[in-house]
Amino acid sequence: MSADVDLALKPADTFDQLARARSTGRVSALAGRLLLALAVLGTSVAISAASRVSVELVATIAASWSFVLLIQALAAAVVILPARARIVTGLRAFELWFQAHVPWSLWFLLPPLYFVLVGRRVSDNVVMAAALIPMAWTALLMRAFARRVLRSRRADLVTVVHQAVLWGLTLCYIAFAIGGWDRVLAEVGL
Amino acid sequence: MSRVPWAAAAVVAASLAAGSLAPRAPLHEPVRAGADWILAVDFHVHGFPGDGALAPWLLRDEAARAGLDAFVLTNHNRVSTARRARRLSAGTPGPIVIVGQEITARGFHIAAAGIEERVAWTHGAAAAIRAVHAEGGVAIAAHPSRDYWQGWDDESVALLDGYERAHPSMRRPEDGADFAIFATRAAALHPDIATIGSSDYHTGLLPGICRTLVLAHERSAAGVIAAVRAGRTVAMDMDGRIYGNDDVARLVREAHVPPPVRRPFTLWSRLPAGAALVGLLLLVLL
Repeated sequence: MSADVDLALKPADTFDQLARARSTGRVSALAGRLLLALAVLGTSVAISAASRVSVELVATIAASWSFVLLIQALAAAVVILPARARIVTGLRAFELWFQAHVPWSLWFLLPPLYFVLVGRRVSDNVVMAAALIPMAWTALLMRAFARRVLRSRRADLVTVVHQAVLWGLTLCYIAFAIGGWDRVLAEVGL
Repeated sequence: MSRVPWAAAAVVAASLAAGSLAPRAPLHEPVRAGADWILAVDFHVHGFPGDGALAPWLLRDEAARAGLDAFVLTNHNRVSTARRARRLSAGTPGPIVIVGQEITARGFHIAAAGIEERVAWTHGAAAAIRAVHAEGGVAIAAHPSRDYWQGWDDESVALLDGYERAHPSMRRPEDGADFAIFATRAAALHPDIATIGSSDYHTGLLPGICRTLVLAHERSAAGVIAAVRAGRTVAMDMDGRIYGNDDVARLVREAHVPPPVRRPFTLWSRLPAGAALVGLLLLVLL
């Protein structure tokens, strides 16, 4: 299994090992992580939306939805940049954080894989409910990241801030996409 | 570095390349009915940016693959994506792109087609429909199941140009029953109202999986809008069942218009898609 899987399953120990193994970042390594995330996003959305893949389709979808990674980067920046006690450079911290992608990557890849193998889509309700798993899992990963990489004594607070920024920005896009905040409130029954 | 990630990356790249070699969909030729055209139109499609997955030019490509002659891009409470889609499509062969908006409010949703500017959604259904008419467009009640009945009083239903009679949510029996109740009410208040079939495409299924067959005097956006206004449409659901105007329905049956394509995969699409996903899973896990 990859270090990414180890990190997802044993986040505290693995973040510790990875941070100690190398404290400075590499642009190429971070670019590779982002490219993998874009490939996962573009391919899974292409199959869900068009039942096929091609270079043009996957690249265009990946470029369109790359703002999702920008939101991730912004939320991470809010907790990484002010962390003075962190034991790695800022670049390495981003690299390590983007290595914590396994929960969301599986959430993106498994429903289209089921669709390709079985020929039936996983229902939207199931996919949305299943999103609770990577949401909670990633919050746990952030807590370990805050402790072991950022060396924060208030890891719970860092996690809350990160999640608030991440989901706040995500909700702003959702409000734009579905017709305004009024609709968002209506969807949650307010 | 292990060879596995490189091999997995090569599988992904090769799969995408193989998918790109798949034959392109032939351009769809609409059916003639005497001097008129029977155009396959989807009046309710979402694109990116918005809550649809696909950028406008990809959406048009998918609409062509689905055998549509035209589609209306109806993002929630905005027209900017639709206008961009129309501009990008100008002068190139493929489905006609019609600017629209899903007027999204508490109690009602309206698929507006043939408009140019965003319509306000905060003043009630009747005001929204009048605004659509003032722009030269048509207003269609979107997915009129009981969750969306609250905003429909008799005045606003009578003002409508059409209502969605075929929609993917009809697979749920309770929604199908609600659509039928709304159809009875709409026909009583506006006997010539157009019946519309729409996919409400965001990510899943396909554009045109439910569609409208429009008997148009001309093969253009204006021809489509005029036909809806005159009630010269029928709705076709996912199984090819037809709802609406008897005369148009007869012409459609005589012309043997094919039902929507439901099978999502061909050999050319399934193999590259599956291989790309397996390659990515290997990259993630190994």
